[in-house]
Amino acid sequence: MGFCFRKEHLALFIFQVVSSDSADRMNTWCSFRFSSLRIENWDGEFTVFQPESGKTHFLNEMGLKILLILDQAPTSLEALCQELSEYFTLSPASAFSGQIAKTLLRYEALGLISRMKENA
Amino acid sequence: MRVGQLSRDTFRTLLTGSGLRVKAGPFNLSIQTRLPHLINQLHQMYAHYSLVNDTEIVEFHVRVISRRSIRRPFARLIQFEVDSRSPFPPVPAEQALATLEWGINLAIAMRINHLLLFHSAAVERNGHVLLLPAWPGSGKTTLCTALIHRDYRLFSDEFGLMDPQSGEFLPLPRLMPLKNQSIGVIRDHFPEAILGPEIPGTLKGTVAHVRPPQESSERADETAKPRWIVFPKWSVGAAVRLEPLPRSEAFLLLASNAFNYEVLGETAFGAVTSLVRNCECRKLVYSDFDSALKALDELTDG
Repeated sequence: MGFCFRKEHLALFIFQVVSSDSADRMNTWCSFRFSSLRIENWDGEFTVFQPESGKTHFLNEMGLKILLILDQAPTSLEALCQELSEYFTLSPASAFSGQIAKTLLRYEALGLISRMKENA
Repeated sequence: MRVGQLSRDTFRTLLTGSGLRVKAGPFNLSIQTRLPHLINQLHQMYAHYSLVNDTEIVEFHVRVISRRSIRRPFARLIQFEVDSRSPFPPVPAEQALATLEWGINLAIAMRINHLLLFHSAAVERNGHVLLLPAWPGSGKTTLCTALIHRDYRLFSDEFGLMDPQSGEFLPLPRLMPLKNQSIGVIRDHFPEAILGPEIPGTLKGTVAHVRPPQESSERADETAKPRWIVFPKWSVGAAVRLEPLPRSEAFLLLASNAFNYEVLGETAFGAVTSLVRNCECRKLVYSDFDSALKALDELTDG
């Protein structure tokens, strides 16, 4: 999962393979002001208006599901991948974790989520 | 009262004096110039424009003035100004009309934020608006010109003006700049179209403006709800195709080509959402007018 910018204010989230394992596996992640987002469903694709930035993001179903999971409770990358795999009935794939890690970093940069250091 | 009802002397006196005050859709303009050829062109091309009462506020004060250049001392240059500012460098005097029209467009695009401004042609048929959003160079002005000469009412070839609160579209019937080959195409297909002079050498090549039909100018206060959104693309030799477009894609395309989507923020998000949910969304690929017009007629019938 990654991003493709159609124009400055519109981010189109699409699947993309990434090779880097850029996730900080010691972190947990949580949504940031999820309740303030305005979300419209377009037959399984979603436009999301973020009042904080004034930007509109375009998410596919998995992109939104990540935000929904992180809104339920702070979640690690590993647990997030596990839950997504179960929900979308995906076969285990080594690249998947990297894709999700990349998406989390992008979401963080956009102010959609934030990271929490684990105490343990 | 309309411009065409003014004598040429009165018309010239206004332009060279306090300013010719005319309506441009929901906006009022004051235009000043002393350029004789521009005065003559405006008298013909603005004939159907309504005059603005002295008591009404004018949003844009524009003028086209002669300029001298030290580097080009013998060149006849002009400059466009809006509220005493010059957004463009001087250009040859022959380009005065094109520069004036582009300057007014720029002023609208830069300053109007109480309406959502789509980069789109807009016409009305059977009481509803057909939006034709497209990027520059996609032929929307040419297609729009064809439509308004087949009984569609002109809203604009450049701006889809949407009131984000009511969802209504506002007409802005102004001159439409045909470029290059489109000029000959329109002359051949629609000999009744009234075109201004061909202006060569502009940044967009040769330009000739189409005068809005009288009825469109006279009904410039009549707003309408949108019903169809068609993204047109002219493609050489292509058979006409008018295909459904996913609403998510329509949202993206509309939002990304609006002039002030980001400025209006959540208001724009809500307005585009409502617009897309309430309209039929299509993409049109065509190479000849007759088949494109037939397809659009069928879409907008009834």
